[in-house]
Amino acid sequence: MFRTFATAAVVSLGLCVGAAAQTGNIVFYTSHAADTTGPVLELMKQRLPNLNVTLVRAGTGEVLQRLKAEAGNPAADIMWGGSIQLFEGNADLFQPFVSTDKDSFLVSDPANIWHASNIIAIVIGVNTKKVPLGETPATTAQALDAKYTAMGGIALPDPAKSSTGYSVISALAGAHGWPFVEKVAKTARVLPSSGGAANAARDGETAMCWVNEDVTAKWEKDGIAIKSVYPADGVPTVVDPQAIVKGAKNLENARIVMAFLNTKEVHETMRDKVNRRSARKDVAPPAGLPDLGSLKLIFAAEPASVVNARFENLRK
Amino acid sequence: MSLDDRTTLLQRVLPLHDPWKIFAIAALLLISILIVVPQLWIILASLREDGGRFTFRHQEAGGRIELTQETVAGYTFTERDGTLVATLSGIDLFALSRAGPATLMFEGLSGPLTGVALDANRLRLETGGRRITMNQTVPMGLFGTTRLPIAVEQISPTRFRVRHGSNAFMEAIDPDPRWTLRNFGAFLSEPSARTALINSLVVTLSATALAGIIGVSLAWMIAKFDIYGREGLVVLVTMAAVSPPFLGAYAWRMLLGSSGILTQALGLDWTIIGLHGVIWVTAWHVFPLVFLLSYDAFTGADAALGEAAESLGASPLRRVLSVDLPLAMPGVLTGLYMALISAFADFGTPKIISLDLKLMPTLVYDEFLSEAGANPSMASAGALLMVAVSTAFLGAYRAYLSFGTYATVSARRLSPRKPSRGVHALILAFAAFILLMAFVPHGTVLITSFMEWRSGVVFPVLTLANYRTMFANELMPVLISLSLATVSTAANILLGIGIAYVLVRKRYPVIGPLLNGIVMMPYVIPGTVIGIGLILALNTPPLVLTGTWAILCLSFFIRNLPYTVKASEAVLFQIHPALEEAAVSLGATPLRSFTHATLPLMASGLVSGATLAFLHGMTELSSTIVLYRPPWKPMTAVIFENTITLGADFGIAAAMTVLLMVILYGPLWLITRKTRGQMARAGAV
Repeated sequence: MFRTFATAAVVSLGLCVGAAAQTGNIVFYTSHAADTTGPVLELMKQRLPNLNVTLVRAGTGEVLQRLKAEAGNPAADIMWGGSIQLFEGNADLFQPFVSTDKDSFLVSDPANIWHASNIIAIVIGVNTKKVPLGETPATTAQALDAKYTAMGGIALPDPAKSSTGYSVISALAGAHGWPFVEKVAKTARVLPSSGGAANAARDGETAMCWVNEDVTAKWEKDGIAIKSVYPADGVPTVVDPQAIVKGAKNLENARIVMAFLNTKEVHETMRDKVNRRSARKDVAPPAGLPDLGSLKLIFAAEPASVVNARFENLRK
Repeated sequence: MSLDDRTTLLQRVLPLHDPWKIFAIAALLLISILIVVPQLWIILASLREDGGRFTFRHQEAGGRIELTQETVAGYTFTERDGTLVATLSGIDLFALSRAGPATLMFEGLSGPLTGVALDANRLRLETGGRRITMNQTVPMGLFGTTRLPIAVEQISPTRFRVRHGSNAFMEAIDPDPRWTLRNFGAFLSEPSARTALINSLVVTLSATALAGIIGVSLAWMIAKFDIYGREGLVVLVTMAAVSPPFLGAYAWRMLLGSSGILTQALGLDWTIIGLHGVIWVTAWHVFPLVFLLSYDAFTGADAALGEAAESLGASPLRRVLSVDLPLAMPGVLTGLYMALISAFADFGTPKIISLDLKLMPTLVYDEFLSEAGANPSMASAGALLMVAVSTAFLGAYRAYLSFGTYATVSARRLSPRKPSRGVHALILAFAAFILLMAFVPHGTVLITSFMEWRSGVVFPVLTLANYRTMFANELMPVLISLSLATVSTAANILLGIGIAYVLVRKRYPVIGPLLNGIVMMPYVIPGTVIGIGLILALNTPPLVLTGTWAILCLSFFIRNLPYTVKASEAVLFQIHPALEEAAVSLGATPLRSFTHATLPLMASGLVSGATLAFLHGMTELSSTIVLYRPPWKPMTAVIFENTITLGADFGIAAAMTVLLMVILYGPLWLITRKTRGQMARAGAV
């Protein structure tokens, strides 16, 4: 107890010093939804009140493309959200940041480029008005059955544009092989963004979607007719990080904000307000989400260039 | 050469005696740079492709180098006893083989080959004039793996060895461009592109046909019969013509989607999502254009001809088909043509209603954004295809009009006749139905802006929270939209009047037709394409404007120039040149005679042209969506973001849309009551 208090005191003191000195701008490029970033930004307003925050929100693919297009003269300071595979595949767009708190994390980058924020299980969100209760699929293989196509099918965010889509396809290819993914390519309804895919299932335009578990957890809480299925044949799981953009204009602020984003307080806020599993060892998982140990987790293996080219080809 | 001779020569080269000619040349230069140059950039981009790319994996199990065939472009590879040989344009460039655990050997086959490590994960290979960058990715589990950094060892001028992470994927890109026509072929051979083109044509033609049936029949009834509330009806339809973008799409989705409000209330099992929905929503979006133009045409036609037909014994139906409609045909056609063009270019409706079905504007947008900055060649090929289709529509329209002349001499305006009570009731019911459909989106958004939104779903709880959030967080976009629309409109008016004056009064050879042609170009270029052109042209020095307020302003200016020029032309035709000649004969300079005699008389036309430009500026979406970047985020972008993204708050989009409607409809209501006819004609091209 005392230790926690002492840590909190030290951290907040450090932040206060930083806050007193820190004014000016910070620009985020993020693929996080507005209700994911909201609580953290609110907290940031209290802890770093003099920072003027600008948020550019777009799909992960678009954010990366913008960073590539702007390399050398970047508008962004921090890229917030994605998957570590995408950060590693584009490591030349980012610069290292040495965290003093690396040991508190379940996972960290030896090159200090990305800093883990959350661990996200990607579930199959099932619209319970479209899929009768007894017929909810238990596995990904079942979800591809023709009877669900008749109910509206399953929405997949385009792997070339969304990190959720990429993580799903890359993990399925790694776990079940490309012939299985071919079935996905021929069955799924591919939408340009993870938001579009999730909203389609929420609105019943499709029967199901691949979606981050925190989204469906929140929806269930809000009384929306959606059910999260953690497929028994493998749950695609991603580490969701952030990194400082190479050549960031507001480098000093970027470092302070990165340190802030790594704090226990931010991770607890994300857990409590947006149902995110923290990548910190000292933050317990959100209430109501299953224990990761009880699930069969599968991970992205092949890089985006391979996954996207193969998937595009299979869709033809 | 005497001084006089030299002066004459100078005058010949620089027409100092004629300030209008100088203006015309300057204007021509300016709009060429703003309009033609970006299009040239698109053409250039569409003719270019990367030198090539490929990804392979060096697997420890079996010591194999595995090439992923799907990733190979530009280069070709052949395997010769464990060695991969890379060939470009028929020339063997280099060979690649395993040289031990996590080690590769590269050997030049047509001259020297050098390798340099760029950082821990990248190396650059140079041979035969090509430069290839390779990026290593090592497959990871959840918690990542430690990677060995890239280490390059040059063994001889033609060979180097690379140590890399175990089981690494190597992603290689040769970015130096090559010129090719292949992008067009590639675009058209993509099944998704072909489907998008067909979908777009089906939607455009069906929606225009539906809009035509609604618009023309209502226009004919209102023109012919003296209906209760006639003027008000026309004003209302005019207002429907400038509704905020994709307002209709989202509202209809909210009402008639799979779990829409009406769908549930009526217990239906259907959804508006799909091509049928796009057609329905687009038709209601574009029918006001058809109505307004047709209404003008019907009321403007010579009434005597129809009366003559009836007195000669023609049945009412025959009269409509063989007299009323042919006489009104140019106006009706102009309306249909305008509907066709806007239906084809509309981005917002398919984005929201078509789900996984692609139409041309959404396809080009997605292609461009998934490739932005790197190699927008496919998007550019698609963009040019869109311009080609639009131009074909224009060609068909012009060809039809040139078949016959429909002008009547000294028309006596049709005076509407009193309908019988039954007919009156029928027409009123028909008009009420049309107005209801046209304003369903407005009503839906107005009501839901006062309701609670949770997780993107509306709950029947009344609240002002949406407005509070909007006023607290999103006031900047209002200022940005207003400033963009105001400044671009002012620029439009300044240049528009001048260009119109030169076109109507001066009729310079070569300069005049060129000026006219270029000014009208943006009318057939879809907004998405204009946006892409501006980005391509202004993304590199000397002038970097991407992501600024200025580039949005430029786009609005370009897109609205046709409207202001045509509006000014229309008024100029009605002002007799004699007025100006009188001023000149009394000793006024040409410029003074213009500013003091002609300009004041143009005022009413200018007001309508300016209003139109301003309203278009406030509601612009299709180029904005490509161009905007925070903090320069106009209202339409806020609405867009809060409509389609995950976890976004549609309540804010609804409140913002209501605010936008207030800003639009206040001034519009005042102005349409006076100048509606001119506005409609100004829109006609």
